[in-house]
Amino acid sequence: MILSINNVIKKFGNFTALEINDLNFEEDRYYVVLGPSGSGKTTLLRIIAGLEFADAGKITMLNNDVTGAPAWKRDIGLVFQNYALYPHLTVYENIASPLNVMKIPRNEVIKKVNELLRVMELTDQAGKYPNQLSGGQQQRVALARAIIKRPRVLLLDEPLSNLDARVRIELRDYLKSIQREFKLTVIHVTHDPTEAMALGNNVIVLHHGRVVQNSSPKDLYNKPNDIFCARLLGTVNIISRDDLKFDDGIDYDLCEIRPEDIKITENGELEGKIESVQFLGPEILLNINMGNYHIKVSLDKYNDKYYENETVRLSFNKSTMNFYKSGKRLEKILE
Amino acid sequence: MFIIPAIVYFLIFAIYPMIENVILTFQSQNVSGQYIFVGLSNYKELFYTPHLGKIIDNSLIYTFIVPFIDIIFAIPLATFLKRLNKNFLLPVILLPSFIPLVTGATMWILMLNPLYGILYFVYHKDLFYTIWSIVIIDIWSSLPLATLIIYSGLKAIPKNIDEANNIDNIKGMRKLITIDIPYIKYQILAAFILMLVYGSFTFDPIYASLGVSTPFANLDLSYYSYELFFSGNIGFSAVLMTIMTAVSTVIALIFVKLTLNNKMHASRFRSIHWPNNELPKSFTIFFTVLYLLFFMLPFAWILIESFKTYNEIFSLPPLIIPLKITLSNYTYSLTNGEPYFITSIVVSILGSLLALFIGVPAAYVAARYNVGGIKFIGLVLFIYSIPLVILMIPDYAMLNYIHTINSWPGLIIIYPVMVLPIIIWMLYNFYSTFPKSYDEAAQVDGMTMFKSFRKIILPLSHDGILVAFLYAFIFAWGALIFPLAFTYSAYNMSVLYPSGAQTLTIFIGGTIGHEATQYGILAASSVLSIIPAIIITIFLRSKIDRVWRGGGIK
Ligand SMILES: Nc1ncnc2c1ncn2[C@@H]1O[C@H](COP(=O)(O)OP(=O)(O)OP(=O)(O)O)[C@@H](O)[C@H]1O
Ligand SMILES: [Mg+2]
Repeated sequence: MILSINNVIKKFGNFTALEINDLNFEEDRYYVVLGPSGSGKTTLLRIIAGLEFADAGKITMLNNDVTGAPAWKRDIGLVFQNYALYPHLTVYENIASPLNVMKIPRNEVIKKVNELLRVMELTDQAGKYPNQLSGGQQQRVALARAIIKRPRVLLLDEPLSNLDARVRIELRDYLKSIQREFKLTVIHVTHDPTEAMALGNNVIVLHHGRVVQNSSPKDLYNKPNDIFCARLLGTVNIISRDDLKFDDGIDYDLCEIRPEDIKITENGELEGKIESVQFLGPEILLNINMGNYHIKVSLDKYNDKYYENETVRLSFNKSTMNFYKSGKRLEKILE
Repeated sequence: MFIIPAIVYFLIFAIYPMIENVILTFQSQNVSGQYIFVGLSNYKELFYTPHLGKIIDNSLIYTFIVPFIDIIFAIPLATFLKRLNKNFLLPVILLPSFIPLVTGATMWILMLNPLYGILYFVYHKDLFYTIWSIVIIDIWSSLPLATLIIYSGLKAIPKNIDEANNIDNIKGMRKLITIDIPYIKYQILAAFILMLVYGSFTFDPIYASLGVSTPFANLDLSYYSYELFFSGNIGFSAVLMTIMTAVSTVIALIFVKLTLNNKMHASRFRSIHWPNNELPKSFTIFFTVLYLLFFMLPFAWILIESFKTYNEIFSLPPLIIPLKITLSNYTYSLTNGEPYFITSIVVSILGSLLALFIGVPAAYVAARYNVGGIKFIGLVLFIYSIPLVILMIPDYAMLNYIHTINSWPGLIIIYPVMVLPIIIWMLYNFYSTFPKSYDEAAQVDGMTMFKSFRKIILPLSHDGILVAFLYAFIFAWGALIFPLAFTYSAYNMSVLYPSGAQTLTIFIGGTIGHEATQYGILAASSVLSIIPAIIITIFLRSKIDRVWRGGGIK
């Protein structure tokens, strides 16, 4: 275990921004912190970085208590959302700046920076100033500056949110490969579910300053801890017991099923009328009126034979359904 | 249309006078008062003026020593202020820059009196026999501005940069020199140039210290040309003013260029291993207190003096705490000074309002629709950085022509020369960050540009306008050169036939050195003259550094 957070509380005035009982990070893994705006993601990152200090609790890094340690004493690198590059320094000088403080021989510094410039594909940009670079290049400079000291933990606060869609996907792969190459523990904050699923070995879900789930993206998708987590990733149907009852001795009030787990078949047990058909590229999403409620069904793109106002019959893949009581998921499922 | 009044005003009262000056240098008044062409004879006087060498030396000292010392002391003070992060400190430190300069000089003269001032306890020689007293006063009154400009630059460094430094373990002297100073290099240069303008045309302290200094000890070109003008030697005065115009144009152009393009360049100091330790907090506090003492001591002394009786003021050694507190100085000052107080209040308010009237629409269209473009803003900054004294002769002739010499209307008409550039520049920055959507929505709703300006923009920008007005008022309140040049008697207190318009600054500045100088009354008047500055500084305290972020102010 490289980093662990125990019983940490952070308040701003009377408002509790963060309350974390027990959160551990392993070496050489990619963690994504996911949550809506204001859920405390940035606060968590800043407390780990030492830019903000917890009101209570303990933070341990490589078995050292670092709860009150200043940022530069922690073995971390941080990439800011807006990069925070020094505008008066060149790319080369920006990357070298953390090393210049340490008493490292000059040629050593040059060697390290040049190596990183090569890895980051920035060699041609070394003499430029930050305002002469594209967003994606600036992001890579920021990344290089954060890892030049070879920190054990790399913190990223919405590192891709300022970039356009194409560059974002490119850099996403890049982040992952850097993490593998340097065997870093990455803690990556985002509110983009796709990013979380694509990158994370683990996804940590924050809600109102608390961790509500900490699992693989697959588990988060298939076995969400509560209704909030269920809604986080992708489209989901949530149906109240009053509208649709499954009587198998389960005491629940909501059930949940993903659109791709519903099939349209002649002998389906439920009937509804197609209200809209959306073509989304790889899939087609049907919105079906079931009387009191609606259900979304996803079909693959070749399955384009349905039209609005058509009446269809549905059948659920029951074993993939989850049931919730007072917001929490029940372990029981249908056979 | 919005911008035309401002341009016309500048052309008439600032640009034309500069040209007129050049013409005047080739002319001379004959016995019947007419101007005749005399060729280069005015210029020849340059070589026959015995004290000119001394005067030029003095001018150079003011021009280069003052800004240099200002910057050297302003950078540490600004970093201390940022580190201590106490909001009440800034207004307190700014006070010396916001009070009338004449009052500031008067305070120092009383304090540095070798017999009756605090100086008695330290040193028994009269510092006003040398130029250094004026240098100290200049520094005292301009250092706060330099500090403010640099401080607002430091405050504008993104928080993320500070945090990145924290993570990279860059701090103390090393952070200051390798990160902060390069980051705010532009503000430092702007402050330096402004201080250059400030020092190079030192006028008010020389005027105030006339009675206590030896002749020519501290005279500079600016004051000397004023004296020539007053003694009727217009031609030679115009020569000196033309020289100053040339010098100040060069400085002003550098200033304009700097202000309008704000580029970053690499620093050469990076390879040196600067100490990477933070000063202990107690040191920071200690030095800040020293600065505060320097800034506040004259205030404390003048306050004490103002409550002393006549005998106590001239007691030896000086009394630190008056035994009998008297208010008679204040009552005397208010009764005798009443016409001056009234004039100052009236002309400062109306002059600033007139400037607002001309300036607000111009600033708005310049910022929003880029009317006049960079040229207009360049003109504003240029006029902002020239010394007022060079406009004196032609502006006098113009006010004379419309029969407004020695009257309120005369001063009100001419005051915008000094405050209009401040107002336009501040509001230009204000409107540049003003959301576009407001007036776009108004125009979509069918309002004309004029109507949306009146109905939407003006109401929404009242706080920006108020701040600009208060700044303008502060500078109008402390004005000396224009009232000196364009008035010669006090307001006669007549409502129907008003005449006379000497201001409070003349009342204060002209007193020292007269035979029976009433130091107590002078002190009381000075205290009264700084009250508006105190009120406004307190009022502006939270807005000050934001307002200045766009640039600097004279
Ligand atoms: N310095 C502060 N002072 C007061 N409240 C703060 C401060 N910083 C954060 N908060 C509050 O704490 C809560 C969590 O903020 P935080 O910035 O961690 O959210 P976030 O999850 O990063 O949100 P976003 O996705 O919008 O960046 C918010 O309600 C915010 O208003
Ligand atoms: Mg955030």
